[in-house]
Amino acid sequence: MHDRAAFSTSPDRSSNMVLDDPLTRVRRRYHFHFPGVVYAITTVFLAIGAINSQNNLLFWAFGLAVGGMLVSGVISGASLMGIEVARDPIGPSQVNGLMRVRYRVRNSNRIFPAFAINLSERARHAPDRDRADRANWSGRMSEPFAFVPLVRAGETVTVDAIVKPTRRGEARFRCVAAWTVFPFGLTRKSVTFVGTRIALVRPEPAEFVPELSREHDSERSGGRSAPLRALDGHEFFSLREYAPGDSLRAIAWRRTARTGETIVRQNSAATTERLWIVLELSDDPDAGERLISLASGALHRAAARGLVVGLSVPSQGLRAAPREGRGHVEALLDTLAVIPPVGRSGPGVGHTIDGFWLGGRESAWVVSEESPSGRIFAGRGSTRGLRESTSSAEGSR
Amino acid sequence: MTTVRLSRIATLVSVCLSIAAYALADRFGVLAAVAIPVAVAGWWVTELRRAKPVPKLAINLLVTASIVWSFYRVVADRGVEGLTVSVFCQFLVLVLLVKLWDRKETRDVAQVLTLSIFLTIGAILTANTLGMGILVIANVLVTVFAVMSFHIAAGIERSAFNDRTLGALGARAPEPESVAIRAILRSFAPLCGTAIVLGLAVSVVVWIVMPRGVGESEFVGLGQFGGRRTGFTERVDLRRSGLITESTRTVLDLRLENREGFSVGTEGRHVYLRGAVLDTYDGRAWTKSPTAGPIVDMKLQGGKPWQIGPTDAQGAVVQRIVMRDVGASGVPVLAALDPVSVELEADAQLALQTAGRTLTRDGRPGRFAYTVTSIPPKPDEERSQISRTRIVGFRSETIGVEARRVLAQAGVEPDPNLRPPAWDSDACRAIERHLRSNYTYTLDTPSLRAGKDPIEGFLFETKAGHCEYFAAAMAAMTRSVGIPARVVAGYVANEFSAETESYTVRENSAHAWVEAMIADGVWATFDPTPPDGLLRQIRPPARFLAGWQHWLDSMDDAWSTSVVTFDEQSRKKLLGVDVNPAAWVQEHVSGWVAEYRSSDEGSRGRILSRAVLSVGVFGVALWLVARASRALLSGDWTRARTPQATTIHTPELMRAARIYDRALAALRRAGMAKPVWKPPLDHAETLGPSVPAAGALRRVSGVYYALRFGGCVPTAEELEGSVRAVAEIRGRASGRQPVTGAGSE
Repeated sequence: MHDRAAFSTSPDRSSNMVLDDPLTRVRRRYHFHFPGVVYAITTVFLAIGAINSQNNLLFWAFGLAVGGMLVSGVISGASLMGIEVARDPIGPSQVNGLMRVRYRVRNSNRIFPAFAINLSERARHAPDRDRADRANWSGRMSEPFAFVPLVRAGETVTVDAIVKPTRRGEARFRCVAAWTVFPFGLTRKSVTFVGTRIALVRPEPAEFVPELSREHDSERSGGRSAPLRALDGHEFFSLREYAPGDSLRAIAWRRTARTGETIVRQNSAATTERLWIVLELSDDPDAGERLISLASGALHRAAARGLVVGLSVPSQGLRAAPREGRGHVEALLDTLAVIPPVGRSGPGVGHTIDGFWLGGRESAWVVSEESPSGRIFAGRGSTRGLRESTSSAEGSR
Repeated sequence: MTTVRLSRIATLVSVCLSIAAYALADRFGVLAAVAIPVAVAGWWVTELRRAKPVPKLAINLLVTASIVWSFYRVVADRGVEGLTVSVFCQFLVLVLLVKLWDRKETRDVAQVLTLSIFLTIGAILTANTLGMGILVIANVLVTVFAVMSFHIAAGIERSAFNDRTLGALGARAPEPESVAIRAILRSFAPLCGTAIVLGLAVSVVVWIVMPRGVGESEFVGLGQFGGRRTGFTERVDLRRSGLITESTRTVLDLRLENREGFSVGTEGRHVYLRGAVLDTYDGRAWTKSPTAGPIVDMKLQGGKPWQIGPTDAQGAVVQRIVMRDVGASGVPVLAALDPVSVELEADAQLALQTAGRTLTRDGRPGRFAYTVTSIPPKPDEERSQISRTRIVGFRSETIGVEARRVLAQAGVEPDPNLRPPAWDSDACRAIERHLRSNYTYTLDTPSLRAGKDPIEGFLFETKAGHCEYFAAAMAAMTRSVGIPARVVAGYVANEFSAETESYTVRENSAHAWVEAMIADGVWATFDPTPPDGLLRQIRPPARFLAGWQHWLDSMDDAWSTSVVTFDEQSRKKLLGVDVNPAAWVQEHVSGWVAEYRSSDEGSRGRILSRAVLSVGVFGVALWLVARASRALLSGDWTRARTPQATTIHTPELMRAARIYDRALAALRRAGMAKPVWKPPLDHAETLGPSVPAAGALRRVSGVYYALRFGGCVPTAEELEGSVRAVAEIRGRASGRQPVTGAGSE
């Protein structure tokens, strides 16, 4: 068994470093728990036994029990008194993925080291007067928990809490408690800190259909997209004879060996095809979650294939045009993390793709409750007038 | 080596030490010899070898079997002193062994540690020997380390378990083992040492401060432990074997002095310390006669002598005796023959059995120090003046025949009616000589036929035995020739130290001898045990072990006098003050109860009300202490330090706070003081709308609160308004306008 986390290697430990953005300490408490009650009862019985029998070693044992209580209070109180905690910004994660909540723990005490510090996120805390600022991670993931075996005097330790989110959305971390039962486990001492961090939990990408891309490619090869060009892309385009200036890395050695002529390999240029992912939500939140998960999968797949993707959620009035770049994809995934799973209905707010306009070399993948596997629209003009083909996503899932 | 491994090793060591401590306390060496290897093997198999632990079903069956066995022991052997603690401790040992062969998760390790601590307490309840004490102290050190490291290890394991559950192994780099152990050694060890030193210091302070002698035996047998040091019994049962102990544990220290205080003890001089006088023989054992004579009770205060008889006789011997560990009741006050004065170090109840001239003491168990003066009996110098008014006999004719034969052989008239009383002493000497020279001393008790008188068996068949047989035989023979005689059980002091000028008496110095009435009311001591046999039993340790024995004795003496027998007197001496609040309370409560019982109906109410009042005052004091402790512990003393609270030092807030304080002071002067617990706006509301001061207070509080809790910096106008409001309150206070509603709170 290996000791983990806070006895971490040197980059995670530093001395005399002041925390950048420490959380605010709001409360310090002593909690009595079962071992403490057992200890107290045993101590009382020791006292009674000592008085009753006048057994001097029992008197001493009673004194030792009292000493244990005092020492426990002194050590834990002194070590917790100097604890400061900062919570680093939390990167986005996805449902059923791993989220890393990173804490920096500083012991400002000049003498006492702090041992066995547990860090637990609290879902609720009394100082949360502002309802909008309340923690809401509970229900989205298990309690984030981190353990720091040792923070020496004046030292700062970085430690991670690893959790697995179970629901997408905005996880708001408001309150963290540093607690310890060290040294003897008689009482649980805690110091509560407040400070808000928000982390996005993105939807889990559904296993998206590979046929989407093939369908998409077939549409494109039907004359609506530009022909592939021999450029320095990543996909194979054709073979040709070697010409001076060609890179040696481009030579197709096997073909060269078979034909006796030097043949080089030509790759295609990256496509600039633009794909709209259109999400049609309904009033059913469960179905909405499934569709959002599908849309997330589509985003991931499209981004992986180098497509320029955009996102439209007509029921939410959301329309993010296709743009290049990983950052754009990340932004779209963040959007999927926070959109409500239900769509609004009413006059002027359509539920469907009807009236959605596609430009040149644009296509749309529409996912809705009626066709959760997605429908593909390709070509210029209103989707109402375009040819529609349904992908075989359902069968593949 | 990792933190977790280190913690587990410390736990195992703690278990082994607790088992050893109990085994030593209960003199159950076999248990330690078996249990400790089994424990180590269990730990080795489950921890080091990572072998499959014993199946859960088997573990549960073993624990159930342990419970059933313990229950059976308690039921089957009920009534045996100290059995409950002994059975409980053995049950703990069994459960510990089972747990060490079980899988060990965090909770299991905690349970093992808890059981180990309870076993150590059981050992303390069983005995207070030096060896046990050393083991307990060592166990305390190890257990503190084990418990402290356990809480670190538990967190590490919980963290690792969390990672395993989430499948997040590898998300964090494992820590190199060398880092862990280095961190432990550098930071943990000093803290652990500090905790141990602090804990021990507090324990010693509590140990000294706790009053002794109060509340003793209030809870019947709870916490009582057996195993007080005795080497002799008050019943010489000749059919039971193995009673003669060879233990060299020290029982008491004796210093012999003359009246001038000079030591008169010398090497080679034996001193017989009488414990019990046994004057009745029932065919099997010598016991104390229940009708041996009147008993004089005396509640004796410490330091005050009790004159039992004339003390001005020549040859008085002063015996200063410190018994190291005695029981609470019926403790024999050991002394040489014919005590005439006794003085105790601490208060106790004494009982003098006038016939046997023996003393017993009821008091606090533990150390017992006293001084007793004895005057050796001296029959009249003129033999012609010796008289005899009492002639006794003995039940066995065979023994009588033998006694007469011995006397005839020695040239002493066997018939008491023909023999002059002055010759009784010679008759006793003849019998003593006969036994010493014709019989063999042995500690191996010879077996006797069922129904056979043990004295006859000794005299005519085995012709070998230990001191009790010799004493019993001589008493029987002496009685059968008409001389009153009795068996005396006690100690013979022979181990004299020239350095300390005192005798050390050990358990193996327990002895039995004979006292015979050689004249009316004059009893003389006779010891028929062969001297070489007696010396073999009570001889000091061999020369090459003498140094060690002396060193061990010193340690044991220090332990016994400083720890085991530490009592109220020692406490008072150490502290230098005579303060015992618990005794004061007990005394007064007892006084009240006695007063209540003896009072008439009319005054009972007054006494009762006084008691109720006292209890009430005590309760209120207790409540206040509890409140203060709770406030201290619950964090009220570290009130929420919100970001707003940190702005307390801003100039605006300081000024607003000053104005607010002035307003409160003005209200106080006006007789409208705001209660501490009441918010100012509530107070203003209580004062009522008709009171102008209420409006002023509301304005001042509004400005202050907005800044204090809302962070709204007041404008200059608002501050001026507050100042005016204070002046307004003051104006009311100075009497320019009558104030109404004052004192409503």
